Amino acid sequence: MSARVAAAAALAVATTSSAAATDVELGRYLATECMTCHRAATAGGAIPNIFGVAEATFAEIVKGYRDGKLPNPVMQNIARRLTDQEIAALARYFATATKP
Amino acid sequence: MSRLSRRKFTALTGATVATACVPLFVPRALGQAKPKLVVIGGGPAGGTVARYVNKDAAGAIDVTLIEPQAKFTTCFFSNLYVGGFRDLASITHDYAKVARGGVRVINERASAIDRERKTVRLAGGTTVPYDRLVVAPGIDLKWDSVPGYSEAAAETMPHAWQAGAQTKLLTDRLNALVDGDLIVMIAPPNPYRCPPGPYERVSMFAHVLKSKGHKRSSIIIVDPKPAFSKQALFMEGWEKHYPGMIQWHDPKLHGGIKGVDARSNEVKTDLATHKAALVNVIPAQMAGRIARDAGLANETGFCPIDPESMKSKMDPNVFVIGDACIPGDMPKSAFSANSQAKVAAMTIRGELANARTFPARYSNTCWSLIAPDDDVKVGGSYEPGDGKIKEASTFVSRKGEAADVRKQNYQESLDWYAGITADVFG
Repeated sequence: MSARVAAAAALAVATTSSAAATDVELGRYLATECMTCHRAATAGGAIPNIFGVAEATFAEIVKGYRDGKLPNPVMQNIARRLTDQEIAALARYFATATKP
Repeated sequence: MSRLSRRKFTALTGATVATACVPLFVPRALGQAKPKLVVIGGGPAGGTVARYVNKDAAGAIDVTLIEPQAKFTTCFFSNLYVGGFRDLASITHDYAKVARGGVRVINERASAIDRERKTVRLAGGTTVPYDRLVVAPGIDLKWDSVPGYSEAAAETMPHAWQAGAQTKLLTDRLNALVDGDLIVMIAPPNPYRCPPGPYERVSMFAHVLKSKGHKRSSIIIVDPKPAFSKQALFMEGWEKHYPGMIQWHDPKLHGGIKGVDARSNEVKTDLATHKAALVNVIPAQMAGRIARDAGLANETGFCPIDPESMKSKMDPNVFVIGDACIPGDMPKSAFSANSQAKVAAMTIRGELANARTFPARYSNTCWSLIAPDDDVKVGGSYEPGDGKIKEASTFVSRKGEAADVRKQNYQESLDWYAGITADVFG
């Protein structure tokens, strides 16, 4: 496989993943679980505001909880069942949705 | 296609069409009235489902919420009122924002459901038609589960397990106690609303007595259960903050609850007769009457549901959510009710507005305050499995945790309360 073909294949995979990851409808559904606690949250509270957080930051934090690198059993428990695709969908939703 | 018989071809095509139509359901004819969702009960289950369907359907579904009280005092966080950490106004909510969002709010009691005609009758005689109905009436108390107890006796021996006037009565009685007085709580048998709630309440009793400088007052819990939620954590906290003040009598110790006498304020067990200054009786519980009268409950007094959708197992046009349902491994809590409401809301939008649906998933966390800034939590994730809502993973606070962890838990619980009440009431 030439470098060009490999690059094209990689791009195709990336595009496919990205398309799957940007399932905002899925993100919107999964986000309802977050809303129970984060709906009224402010930046200074124990439960932070997660609306408007950059997608990459959001995904990194949720994966941190999922992998047990960040403390808090509530968040670890929530994050443990999320796939990478679901985390990406959530990240996209919260990055773009307006806090109600 | 030559090898396919006409019958096989028809069957296959039919199956394909049927499969394709499953998530879409029957399209409503143009010009037909909008589909109607009616929700009975405006607590954390009913308020959530009404608001989520209304908001996400963006006008495609007519949503009506029937709740007899114009103002709703939450049972969750009412222990913090008992303990003096909140006032009643801060745990009381109205439906103005729910109505402003487009939900038709009827502050009247729903008196009956006609599942044949798909209507709800209001106490005033009006009938409200539905295409889908959500029944979320919460619990009723089984007054006779404690011999001698009754609705009338609750004016002397408050239960305060449905928040409002009863919570105020209990708190006023608590605040009038003098040093040396005895409080007796009769805890409820499983299943009941808010598993750690009775023990958080006892913690709040003890906190108030301690704050008032009581040295000789005591609290006895007469429990029909051999164990209770977060038991090790509560017992550790009681010993730490209120040494010697609280006794827990399990069935092995008390031998059986014989009854109460509201006139003499006595609680009788096989072990002893306790004459108390304050008796808090939390009886056994069952689904709210309207759910039982409509034939939605089984022999347990609670309502079986399909864990994939929160639909009643008795009627595919009816959903039962919150404390009235049989939630499998989930506890009966406001958090659980809110979580179940979101699964029901998604299913209802799928059926009435052709919205996309996803596999159900549920979660819960219960925080309990033992003493100022000493808060513990338990929670879990749940998914459909083995025909019920099945536990996927759980967590619970650990004994001996650092003070800053417990304080953080308390701060979390305050933020959670603000969040969930905004989710339910707007």
